[in-house]
Amino acid sequence: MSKQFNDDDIIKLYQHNTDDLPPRQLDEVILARAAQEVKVDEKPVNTKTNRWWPYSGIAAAMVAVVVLAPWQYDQAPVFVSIESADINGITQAHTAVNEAELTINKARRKVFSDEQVIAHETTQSIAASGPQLEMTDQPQVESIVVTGMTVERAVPEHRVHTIKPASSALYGIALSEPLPEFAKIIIKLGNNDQQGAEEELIKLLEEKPEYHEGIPEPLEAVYQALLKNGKLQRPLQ
Amino acid sequence: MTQIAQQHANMDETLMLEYGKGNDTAFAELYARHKGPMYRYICRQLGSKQHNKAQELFQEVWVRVIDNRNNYTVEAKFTTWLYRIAHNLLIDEHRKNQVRGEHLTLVSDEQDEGILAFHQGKQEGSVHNDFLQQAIKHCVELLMPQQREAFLLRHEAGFDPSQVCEIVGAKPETVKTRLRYAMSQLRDCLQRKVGATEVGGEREI
Repeated sequence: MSKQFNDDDIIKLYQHNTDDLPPRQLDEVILARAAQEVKVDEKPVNTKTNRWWPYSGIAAAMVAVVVLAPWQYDQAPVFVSIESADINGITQAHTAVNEAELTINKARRKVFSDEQVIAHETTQSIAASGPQLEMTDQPQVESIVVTGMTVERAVPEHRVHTIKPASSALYGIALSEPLPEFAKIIIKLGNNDQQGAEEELIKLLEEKPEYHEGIPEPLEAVYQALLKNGKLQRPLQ
Repeated sequence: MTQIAQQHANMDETLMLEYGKGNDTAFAELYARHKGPMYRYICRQLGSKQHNKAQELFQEVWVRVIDNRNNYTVEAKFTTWLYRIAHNLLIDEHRKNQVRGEHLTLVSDEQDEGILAFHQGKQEGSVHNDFLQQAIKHCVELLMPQQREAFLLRHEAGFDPSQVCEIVGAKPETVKTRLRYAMSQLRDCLQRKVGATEVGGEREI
């Protein structure tokens, strides 16, 4: 009859001779692997692995220099030539401007003298005919030709003084209508106030002798009569 | 668990933490403590036919311990963590074998008969226990994988049923059932082998 096994017998039987162990070679492999991994952890951080940062930075800087350097090479001579040209050009331009200023000043003096003459004549004509001197506000342009170069500039307002002919009497042309001062006298003459008209005319011509040249026709007879009887004298030229 | 066993278990965790700090001597101590039970556990699980594969898996278990030395935290017993690694690797290996159409526990009748024939003439002598030990190992290999795993973890590695549950990821009732069935299967297997030997002996006599 076969033996009956209970649980304890089976367990004891199994655990009795369980001495199987891994081969020594396998032990060595595992222990060597464990020691090797620990040594890898203990190794200081290799700074050589991070040295690519400065190298890459230097390389990037060199690339930037190589890429941007041709621009400098192209522009540098231009800058030099511009500077030398500026110096020469400025000197020449300065000389030309000085010459132009002298020319302008001469021309101005001449023009100014003419203007004085014209202004004097204008004053006389205004005194004679009573027109107002008008000043234009519009800026004008002076054009100066200097050695083939045209320079145009706006003339300052205070230097703009274009003189319009104030009256046709300035050029010796008779007025078609009498001045208002004469009109009053003509009206008095029309009202048969011969004495009042004469007194008024004498008074006006004494105040404004320039009006002697512009006596209107209706008063011409009265004027000649006053000259003859000595009540009025023609002023000296 | 006795006080000495608790201290021993605490030393396992301490040794593992020491190894994580770079002390390879601690790992050597840890390895010396657990290499035998772990090696037998894997060999029994894979069977005697896959001895080389068992060594390969054994090495892989310890390599994973080495690789995870810095991530190890004392959340459970070191041995629970260690055997869980082995359990996962064995599960993967079982799946590979199932895909290949192999069955790890398949032991041919010829091998069974060969073991019996080897010991047939010696059973009446002093080597009777050797025969029983060979028989029990053979019977363990014949167990269903889950029953064999529960038996090995309980009686080879020395885990409590609760720890076995934690390692294999099963409910306590399930583990107890597997253990009960495993013991029943082993008992039947041993009785069958012993009975067959007696019959053979009588024939030989």
